[in-house]
Amino acid sequence: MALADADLVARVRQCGDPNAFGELVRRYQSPVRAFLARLTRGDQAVADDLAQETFVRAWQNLSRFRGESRFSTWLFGIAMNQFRQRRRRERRHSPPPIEAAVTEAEPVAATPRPGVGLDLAEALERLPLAERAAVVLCCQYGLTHEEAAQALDCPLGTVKTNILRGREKLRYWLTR
Amino acid sequence: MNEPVRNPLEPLDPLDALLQASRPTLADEGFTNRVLLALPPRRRRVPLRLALLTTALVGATVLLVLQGHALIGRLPSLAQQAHQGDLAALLPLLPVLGALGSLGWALAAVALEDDWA
Repeated sequence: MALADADLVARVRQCGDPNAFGELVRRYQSPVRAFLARLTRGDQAVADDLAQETFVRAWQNLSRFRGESRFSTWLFGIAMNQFRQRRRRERRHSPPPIEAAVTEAEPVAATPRPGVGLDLAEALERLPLAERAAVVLCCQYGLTHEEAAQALDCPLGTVKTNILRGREKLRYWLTR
Repeated sequence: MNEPVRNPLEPLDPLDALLQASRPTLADEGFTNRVLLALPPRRRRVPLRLALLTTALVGATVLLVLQGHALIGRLPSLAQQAHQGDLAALLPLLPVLGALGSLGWALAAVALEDDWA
């Protein structure tokens, strides 16, 4: 019988069992890599680097995981932090052109041309980062709004708003 | 991963259905092995308690060595003074007693501790 996440976490915490941690990685590699691929707008190589760093951080900081949330929620939170850190590093090393710097932190995808339907992947890529992350976590990976707020480190109301806006845009873009 | 929580009697929103159906499942393709190879040795977090106990242990030992040796020779006279009602004469013993208490506390804590991670 498969061990519960909490049992695997306990094994890692008690005796640093790499096999138990390997099982956790096997369980969550797909959602974490796919979530990060959504954040990086489909750059799977970068997403995989970030996912690897996410699991390494989880290994290093497992003693801080108190089991108050699901392990997956905690993991998505680390993944989000890794993504944010990478973006900060990239901005430091390659300052954006002036016109981009004054508009918005994240490069905004072009507004879809009227009358042109988008597929879901394209539509998700066009969402601003905060809306995309919230929609993917809640509507694709089944996190509750509270869990998403915890993982994204933002207020519950913001998550709800982002999901609402994101879904409205998706619906609009997908049905045109 | 869990499915999004919803009322089973409520029809699934077409957008939600599309989002869930398009949830990608990525094959491992060696990812887990790469992660396991990249793992650093686990840092065993030294708890504050352990640091405090070690400090107490070292401090008590030092005090015992420094004070105890000097006081041993004076013990008979101190006892005599105390017997005569001069309790202030016992004050030099306080650091030693404190040190002994710390030592006992540290040893008991170490003996009863079961998880240092």
